Amino acid sequence: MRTISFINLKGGVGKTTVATNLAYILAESWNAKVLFIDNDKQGNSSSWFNADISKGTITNILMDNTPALEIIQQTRYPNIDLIPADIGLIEANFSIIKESEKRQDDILRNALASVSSQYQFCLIDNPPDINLSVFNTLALTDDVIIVTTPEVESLSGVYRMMEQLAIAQKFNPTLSVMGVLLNMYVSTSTTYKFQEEIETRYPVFSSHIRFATQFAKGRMNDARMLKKSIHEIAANTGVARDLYAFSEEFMANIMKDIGGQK
Amino acid sequence: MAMKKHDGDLTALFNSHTKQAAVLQKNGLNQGDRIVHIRVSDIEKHPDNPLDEREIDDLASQIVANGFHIETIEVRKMDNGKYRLISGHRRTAAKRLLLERGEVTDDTMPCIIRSFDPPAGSNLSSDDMEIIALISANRGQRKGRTLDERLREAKLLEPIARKIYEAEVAKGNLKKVSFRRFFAKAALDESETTLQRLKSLEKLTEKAKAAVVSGKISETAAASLAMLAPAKQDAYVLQLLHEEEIRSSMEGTEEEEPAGETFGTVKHVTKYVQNEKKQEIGIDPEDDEEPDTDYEPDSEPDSESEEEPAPAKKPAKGQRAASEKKSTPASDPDEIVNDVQSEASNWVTSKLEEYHRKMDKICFMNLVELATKEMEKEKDAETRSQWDLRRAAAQLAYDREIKREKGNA
Repeated sequence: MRTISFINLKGGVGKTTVATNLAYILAESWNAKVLFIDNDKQGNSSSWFNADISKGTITNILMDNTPALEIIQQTRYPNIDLIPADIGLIEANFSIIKESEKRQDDILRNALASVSSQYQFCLIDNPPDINLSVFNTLALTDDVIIVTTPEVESLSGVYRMMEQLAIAQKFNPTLSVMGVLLNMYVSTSTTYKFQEEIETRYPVFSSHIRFATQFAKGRMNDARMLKKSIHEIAANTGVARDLYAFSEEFMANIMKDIGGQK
Repeated sequence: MAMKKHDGDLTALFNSHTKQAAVLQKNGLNQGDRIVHIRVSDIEKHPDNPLDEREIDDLASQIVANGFHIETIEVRKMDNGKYRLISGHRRTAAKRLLLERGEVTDDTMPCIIRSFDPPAGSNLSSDDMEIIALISANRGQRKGRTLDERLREAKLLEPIARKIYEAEVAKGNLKKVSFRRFFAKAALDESETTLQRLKSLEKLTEKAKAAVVSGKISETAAASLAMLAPAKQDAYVLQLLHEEEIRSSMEGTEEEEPAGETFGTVKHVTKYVQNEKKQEIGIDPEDDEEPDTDYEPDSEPDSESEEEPAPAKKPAKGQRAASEKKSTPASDPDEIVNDVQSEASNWVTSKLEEYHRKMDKICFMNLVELATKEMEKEKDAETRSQWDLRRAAAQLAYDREIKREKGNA
C-alpha cells in the first residue's frame, strides 16, 4: 500500500479538493483500490464521501484501540474505502500526548498493518495543523505532497512544514516529499518568483492546477454539493483537466520508483 | 529574563518510548541493508551508464575537503565475482583519481549491494530493473545533464517503458494515455513536446549539437535544423559562427551592425530550413508564383515534432485567399503566406499548451470546432480567413494525432 499524505500548515489551499479528486481518478481511471483517510477534525472529505461517522472514526483507532476493520467504511465508489474523521480528533490528540506507556507515533500504522495489503494506495487528507494525529499519518506515509497556492505569504508556511517533515523523518526514514503542487495557479511574475524559490528546496510538480474561472468555480461548488468529483460533472473545465494531468504525473512518479524499492 | 523560544517542535513533549524510536532510526538505512566495503579494483562501470564522467577533479577535491567521506554507492554483484556500478560512477572515478595521486591509501568504496527482483507479476527482467535503478540514481542531478546524456537515457529507457506500458494497458490501466505521453512523463519526466524535440535532436550533426550545447542555437531552433541533411546543418553552423566573428570584431567600433535576422534565432533557422527544403523539392525560393495548395503534408515517421514550424510544410487549402489578399508587388508572397501559416500553427500550439498538454483527440477537435465557430461569427473577410487557417492547422494536427495513435496501437 503506497501511502500519500496531502499536507500544508496553511488552510484553504485545496488539499481536500486535490486529495478527493485524485482518489476518484485513481479508483476510476486506474482501477486502483484506494484507502482514503480523513485526518481533519473538520471532516470535509468525510462528508463529501457521505460517511456515517456514527459507525466510528479515526478517533476510535487513535484513542480506543478499535481495530481498523471495524472503522473502515465503503463509499459510493467501489474502489474507495474510507476512514472518516470527526471533531473527536481534538480529544484523540490530547489523549495521545498523555500516553506514557507506549509509542505515540505509530498507532495508526500498527492498526492498518493487517489491511494494508488490500489497497494499492492510501491517500491521507491532513489538517492545516501539526499534531499527534498528523505524526501518526506521517509515520505511515511514503510520499508527501505539499499543496500550496503560489503566494508569497504561503512561502513561510511551506518552510515551517519542511521543518516538521524533517522531524517526522526521524521517526519514519522512508518518508519523502514527492513534490510541491501549485494550486490556484496564475501565470504572473510573482508566481514565477514563488516557483523559483520553492524549486531550490523541493521538487515542484510540472502540472499546475489553475485558478478556476467563475464558471469552473460554480461547477466545483456544484460538485461539492452533489457529492461528486469534478470529473463526474464538468470534466472539460481547465481545473478538471489540470487535476487529471496532475494524476498522470503522480502515477509517473510512482512507477519510476518501481526500480528503487523503498 | 529572556523569553523562551517555542519553535513548534513537538518532540520535546513525546514520551521516552517515542523519543527512543527516533534515535534508533536515525541512520536511515532500511532493514537488511548492510554497507560493505569493496575494493575499487573489483568495481566495474555499468556499460549502459548514460552519464558522462564530468568534473571528477572537482569531486575529488570535495571528497578530500569532506574528510575523505564518500556517500554510499550502489552496486550489483555479477557472475564473475565483480561488482557493477548502479550509482556512484563519479564517486568511484574520483576515488581512483585520489588513489593514483597517492592522496589516499584505503582503496575501498562503501557499497550497498542491490539485487533487482522485478515486482511480482511484472514483465520486466532484472536487467530492466537495473537500468531503471541506474537512471533513477541520477535523477537528482536532472538540471546538469547534457544533450547527449539525455539522448542516451531516452534510448535506454524506451524499450523498458514500452514493456511497462504494454503490461499496464493489458491490465486495463492507462486509458486515454498514449505511449508517447507515458514515455515522456513516466520514464523521462518531461513534457511530450520536450520529448518530441529531444527525438528530433537525435539527427543533429556533432557540429550542430556542439552549437546547441554552447548555447548558440536554442533547442527549439535546432529541432528545425535537424530536419536537414548533415551537410546543410554544418553549413548553417559555419555561417552562424562566421557571423558571430564579424559581430564580435565590430564591437566597440562605430560601424553599424549588418542588417538582417540574427543567426541562431528560431525565426532565422526556420527560414533557412524552409528555403533549403524548397530547393530540394525544386522550387526557386525567389519564385513569385502561388504555391500548390493541393499538396499533401508528408508524414515523416521519425520526426514527430509537433512544433515543426508551419513554413516547412505546404499550405493547406483556404490560404489562397490570404495570400491573394495580401499580395503586393513589393513583398514576397511566400513569406507572407508562411508568416500567416506559422501564426496559425503557433495559435494551435499555444492553445494546446493552454490546455496543459492534454494532447488527445478530444482536445484537437475542440480547437477545430472553436476555430470554425469563430470563423462563422466573423464578418470581416480577412479575420475570417485567419480563423480558417487556424481551423486548418488544428485539423492538420488532429489528423496527425490520429495517424500517430494508429501507429502506436
